[in-house]
Amino acid sequence: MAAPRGSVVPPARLAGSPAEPISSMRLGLFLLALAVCGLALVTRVGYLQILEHEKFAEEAESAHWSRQVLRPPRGTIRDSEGNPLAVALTTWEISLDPRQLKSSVARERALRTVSEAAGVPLQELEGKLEGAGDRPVAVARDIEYARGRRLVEKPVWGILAQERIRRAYPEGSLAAHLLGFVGRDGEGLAGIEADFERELAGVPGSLVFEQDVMGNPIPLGYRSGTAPRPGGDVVLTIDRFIQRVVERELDAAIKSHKAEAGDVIVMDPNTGAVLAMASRPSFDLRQPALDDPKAMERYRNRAVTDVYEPGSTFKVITMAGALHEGAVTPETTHVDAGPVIKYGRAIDNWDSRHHGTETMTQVLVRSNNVGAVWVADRQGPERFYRNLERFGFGQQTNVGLSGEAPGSVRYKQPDWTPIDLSTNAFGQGLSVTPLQLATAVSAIANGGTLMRPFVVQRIEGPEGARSFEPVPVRRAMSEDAAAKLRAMMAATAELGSGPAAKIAGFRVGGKTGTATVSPGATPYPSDATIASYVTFFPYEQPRAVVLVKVDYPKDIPWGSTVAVPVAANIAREMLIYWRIPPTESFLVAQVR
Amino acid sequence: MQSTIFGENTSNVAPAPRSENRLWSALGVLLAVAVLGAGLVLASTSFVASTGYNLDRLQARKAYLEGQTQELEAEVASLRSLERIEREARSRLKMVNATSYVYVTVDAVPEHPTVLLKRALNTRQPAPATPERHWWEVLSLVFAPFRKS
Repeated sequence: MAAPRGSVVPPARLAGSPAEPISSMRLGLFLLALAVCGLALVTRVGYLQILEHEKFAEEAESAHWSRQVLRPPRGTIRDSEGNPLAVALTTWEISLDPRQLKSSVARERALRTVSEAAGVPLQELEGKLEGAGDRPVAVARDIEYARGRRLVEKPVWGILAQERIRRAYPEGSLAAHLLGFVGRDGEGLAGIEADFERELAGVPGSLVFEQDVMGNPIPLGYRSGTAPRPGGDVVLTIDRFIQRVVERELDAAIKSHKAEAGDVIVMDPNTGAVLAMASRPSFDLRQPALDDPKAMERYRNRAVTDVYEPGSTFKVITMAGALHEGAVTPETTHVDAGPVIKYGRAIDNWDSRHHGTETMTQVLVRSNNVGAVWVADRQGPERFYRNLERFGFGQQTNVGLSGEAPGSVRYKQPDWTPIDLSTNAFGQGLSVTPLQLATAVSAIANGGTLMRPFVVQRIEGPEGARSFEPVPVRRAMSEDAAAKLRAMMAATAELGSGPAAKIAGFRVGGKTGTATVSPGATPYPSDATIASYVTFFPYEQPRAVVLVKVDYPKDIPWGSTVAVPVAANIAREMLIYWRIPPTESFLVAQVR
Repeated sequence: MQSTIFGENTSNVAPAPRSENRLWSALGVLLAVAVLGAGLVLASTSFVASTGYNLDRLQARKAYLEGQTQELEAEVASLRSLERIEREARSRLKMVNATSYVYVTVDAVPEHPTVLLKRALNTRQPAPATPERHWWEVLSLVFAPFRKS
């Protein structure tokens, strides 16, 4: 707008003309403020650079450098034919870091990415993140390698991905107790997984590198480390086919007799190799309840860790000692005139029947308690218990599995009484593990040599293979005595173990047992029994020993009814599987 | 020909001394060498950087393929499991358990026995195969009037 006529207009200020004079006080204040700010800055820099130097240097170092532990792939557990029973899979565990997900945009992006990659609903992820507080929370586990890898290659703010080792079991929960399982960190917690942790786990490597802000290695940066050494494969003596048959038959028997538990061991008597080993109750290998203390009961390999009174199956051990010492022959007779009184207690036969004069073979066939007591008396305690020691009772077998029980033979201990000799003769008043009894009967089957049982035959690592050879422990009985006892056991299987023990075309040896459980020894009631049967086959050239033990069958207590069919079915399938031909007399009869 | 600059006669201007030309040439060469050197450094740095990226990519690829191999091995194992074989045999092939067995005796073992057969044979040596008959022996058997049954 134009200025009114006549008014005084100040001359326009030209650029570059001298400014108005600034008051010296304002200038002084400005300079003072500058000086204070400068001093504060210098002080702060001094504080950070000098006093807090180490702390910030460390922080910078840790942000700049990354140190990673490279986990080696865990070895595979295989059966004797090389079929994998437990294989390792590398998977991913995805976590969310709430501290990096404060903004709604970052949060939504991270949640959506994880939901798509892991297949977890958004609501579930949000719930987990809400309850996490300020710490990173794992929101998805066992993510397939390829899917997890995509997350790592395109990092998203707030998402952390870590490699994990997961076990997969191609044969399901086969041989669950023997294989054991690994924890969430991939470390073996039970069974072979724990006992052979060093061989299976391998040696971790390490990697140190300079990283960018997203944690990725800088291509031109420093990088150094050592490569991980992969774990070795553990090859078991277990045969998956035999193991499967064993578990199927044991499950069927437990179901049909409403039993509480059971164990089966199949052993090669010539080498001591365990061909199958099963216990019930079992568990799901893929989902062991690691947080449930009650479930721990199920993880025990009872065939190795638990003891029981073997009952009449033990009469073969009593007879073995007497034959070896020359105290009896199969034809030696004794007179069974009724219950025998020992130290004020009457010992009777299981059926309270008495047969007068009978041979030692008949003692086994009829499972005669009075006869067994007579045989033990004929040996005397020294020779009787020396025999048990030779067969490995009261000692660990050193099978190489943790938690193995030595069993209990109380001779020369303060609580031993002379009547124990009589009760021990028919398998009461002492305790053995199923593995011990199978090993002892294997010695009878192979001609008298006690072999050390073993479950691992080979470890194949990156540096070569290491084999475990059969180890003879000692001679438990003479070859001649073993041959006589095998014939006696064959007669027992033929005449005394019931019709189920017979296998068309084959001769087998065996002995049943029905043991009463000592009150308080187990959680079972006082009328509980353990039905068992131990057999070897074929009689002419024994290739396998099978021990079946069924705890507390509710309907029928007898070993001949409960345990014998299980062993016979297993033997029948194994004979076909191994293509062992029947006896010549059977083949001739078949042709005619 | 004469040229005029701002109306002055330049025909008498003296040419630049030779030493000055050399200096310019040397500077030019130096500049070219410097540019070339810088280019080489840049190229090598770029090459190292791209090789580093390639290395990272290949390592990631290797890790990916190792993970895939593990998964495929597990899948093969599960396909070869006894449970799956039995399921397929029963449901798809309609197979049933054998109820009777016919034993056929042979007096020879195969040249390459299977693991199972080796086991069955245990430590026994293979039995010698029946010697081949000559053609006239076979003929004599065919035309023999009386043969043992």
